[in-house]
Amino acid sequence: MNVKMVELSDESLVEVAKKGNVDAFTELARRYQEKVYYTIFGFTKNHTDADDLAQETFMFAYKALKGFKQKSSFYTWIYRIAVNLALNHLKKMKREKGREELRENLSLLEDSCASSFSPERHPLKRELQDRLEKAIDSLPLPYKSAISLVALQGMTHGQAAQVLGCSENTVSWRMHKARKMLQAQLKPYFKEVKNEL
Amino acid sequence: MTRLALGLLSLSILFLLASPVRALQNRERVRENISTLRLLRMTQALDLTEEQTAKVYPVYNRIEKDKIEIQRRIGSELDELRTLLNDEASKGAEIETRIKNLMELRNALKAKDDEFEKFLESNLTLVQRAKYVLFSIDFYRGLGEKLNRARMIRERAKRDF
Amino acid sequence: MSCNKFQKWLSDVLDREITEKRQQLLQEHLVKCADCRAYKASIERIQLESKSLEKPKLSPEYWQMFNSRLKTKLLSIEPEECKSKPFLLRWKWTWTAAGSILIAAVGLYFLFFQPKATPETYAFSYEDALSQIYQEIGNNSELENSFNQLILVSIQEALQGNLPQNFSDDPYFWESLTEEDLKFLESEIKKESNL
Repeated sequence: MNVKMVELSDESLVEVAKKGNVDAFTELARRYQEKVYYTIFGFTKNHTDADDLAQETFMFAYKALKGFKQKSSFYTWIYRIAVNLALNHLKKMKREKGREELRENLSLLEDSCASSFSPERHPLKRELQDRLEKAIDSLPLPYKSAISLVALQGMTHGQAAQVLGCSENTVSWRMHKARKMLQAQLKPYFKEVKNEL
Repeated sequence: MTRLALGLLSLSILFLLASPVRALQNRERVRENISTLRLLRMTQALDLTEEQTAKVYPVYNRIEKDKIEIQRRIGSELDELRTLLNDEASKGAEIETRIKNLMELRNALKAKDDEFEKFLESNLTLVQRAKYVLFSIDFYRGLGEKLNRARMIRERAKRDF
Repeated sequence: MSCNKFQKWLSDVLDREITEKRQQLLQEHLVKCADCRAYKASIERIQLESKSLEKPKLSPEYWQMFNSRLKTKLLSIEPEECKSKPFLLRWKWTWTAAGSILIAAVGLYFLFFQPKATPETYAFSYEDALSQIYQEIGNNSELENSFNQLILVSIQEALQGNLPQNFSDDPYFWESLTEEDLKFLESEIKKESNL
């Protein structure tokens, strides 16, 4: 790793990268690749697609870098590209269905990454998580985007608004409506889990 | 050439105009936004309960996704038709097949709307179903009004420019 | 103030996007309202469960590989790929569109040489209503964008709860319906009540 690049701010790295310095851009990518990946994963629920789209996000950003005027932070800009690519992907492809596929992809990952699954859960809690995933997935895209960025990625309303290209107030209302919808769908399962545990 | 074939020819040419991927994506984006607005307004107009919302939303979204897919297939069929019409060697039977496919897809699109309305029938009260009828008139008229307003905005922008 | 408003604030609390004053008012309300307390518990539970939804746990080695793969791809990009398209190529589709508009106009004349259907005619078919909208927009991307903006504004209003007044309460609404609309509504409602 180029020590000098690590010391530079995002703004400086962008300026250096604009001149064609690949090392500068890969340092920027290194800083945000995990967040970009997990943001996209929140939409695709599929490791292969998330990996591809994350790579595509950075490739797209690199090619478009000359036009990036740094009016927003690099972080916001790259997130916006990632979210747009993920949304376009969802619109194009039929959704990968089911947690079975997720498990399959994850078990393939285990071989290559020596990672481990989260510990066994109570079966009813597991069902609740299945339901929650399906419920989030069934939300209309504007609500799903908001939930993914704010609740799952931990962005503020302001940050999410910049990424999604809408007002902070809109993000705030989308979060409220999304939670109402999720709560309505999941109410029966809360009662079951409460009774069992 | 029949009126229908002329009409389809026009449609195919219109799709030629829209064939750049970006234009198609724009069209889909507008459709999705209209779909979102319709769902939101419907929820409010019909005064859906939370339980009804939890049932209706996933079905509505699934049906809208299916319709987008059908629209895409219509787009492909129109592209094929355009290619056939441009090719002097193409046969009448092939063109007729494409026209038949297009009509079937168009019926499939309408069938999706029927599917949703049938679903509503079994999940709404009588009063809500009546409200749905009234809501539909108002919503579609509202779309027309928005389009007129957008036209006025464009005209004003051109004048001011 | 309605519970809906307080429930919206409960959502803001979870995102740490609430003022102190609202927080205080919210606490006062929660003391009195069992429904809102129950709602609070539900959405807190959802928030908690969302945090522990399964995500792939990827090793540092994976991320190093990810970065290396990216670097390899970036190095293989020709500098020219980063430049913008040649001027004429950018205008390619505009020329295509301009030429096609002429042909489209002729075809459209034959298809639409009849009185345009009013919106009311398509009132009971969503796809037909959309189809009419798209036909009117045609290939006018500026009109399409303006129209889309208006739709987005309406979505925002709907999300913020700024509803159009319940149209059926508006006395002028009934006056604006044609005879045909009223008869259709009457028959539909009669059919429903006979089921």
